[in-house]
Amino acid sequence: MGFDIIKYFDQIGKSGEILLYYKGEITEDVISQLLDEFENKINELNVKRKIIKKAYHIFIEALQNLYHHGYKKKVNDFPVNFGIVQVKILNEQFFIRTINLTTESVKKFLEKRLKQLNVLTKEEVSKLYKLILKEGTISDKGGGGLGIVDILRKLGDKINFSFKEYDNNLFFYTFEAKMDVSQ
Amino acid sequence: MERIELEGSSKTPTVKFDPSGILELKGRSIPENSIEFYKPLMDWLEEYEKNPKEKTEIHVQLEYFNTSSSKCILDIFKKLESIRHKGYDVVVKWYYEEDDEDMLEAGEDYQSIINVPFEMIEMEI
Repeated sequence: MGFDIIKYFDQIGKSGEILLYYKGEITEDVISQLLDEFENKINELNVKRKIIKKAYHIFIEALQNLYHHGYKKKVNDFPVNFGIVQVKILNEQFFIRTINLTTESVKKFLEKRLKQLNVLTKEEVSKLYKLILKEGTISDKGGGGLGIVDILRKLGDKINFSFKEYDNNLFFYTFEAKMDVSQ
Repeated sequence: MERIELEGSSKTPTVKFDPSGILELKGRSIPENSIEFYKPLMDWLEEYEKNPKEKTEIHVQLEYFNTSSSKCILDIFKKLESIRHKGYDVVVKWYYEEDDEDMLEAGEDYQSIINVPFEMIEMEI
């Protein structure tokens, strides 16, 4: 038994108003259920439609990243394609958080990529999005590398991320997008 | 040629591709596997391209689309661009909700990549 991610997540995640929480296997059906739940919850809030759309859009990409890039093996008590999803509001900000297991090589790739992307200006992100859309080939997972860039573009802010070592060269990757509830 | 008519779902758009040259994509396009969803539409366009109408109009009124759909939508536009290069009239009508700058920007991105006239149409909510 390695790092206790559930306990860790409970600790970092318990402040604020939790709109949605899920832990388990990420399947197409789970994504549909989470999207429905997200939409119902967010529509109850007094938030401008354009913010709702932005948040929903980021949530879709974050979930589909989990679905496509989750770890495809069962590890101890964690099922295949295990993920944790949480959406909450704290200090007038939406927090969209996901966690999944990943290998060391993917960790290295993601760290490098996210560090490169996080320093880009809004204009540079838009330019990069257009370049990948125009030149990039679509992968068998469908994303073609656009997902993260699109999240950054919608977010207009940095993506927060961290890695916690589990064991056997496996890591928990935490992705977090936060945006102002009122813009 | 047969008309394609697909009812929209929570993850896939309403599609109407009519051999008369009026095409429509409306709703949400957020499936996990977009290539699979768009394949029959691309096949239809492949066929349509052989004998297109003088004027082809595509109405794109999407509330949300994910990044894997964005590439497939680009492929549709590329097909229309190729029809236009053969001397036919083609127009993309891109709808966006007022205040939805992201959807307007997405349309403008396509407009800058594809050599087909775009009409940006703002919709009141």
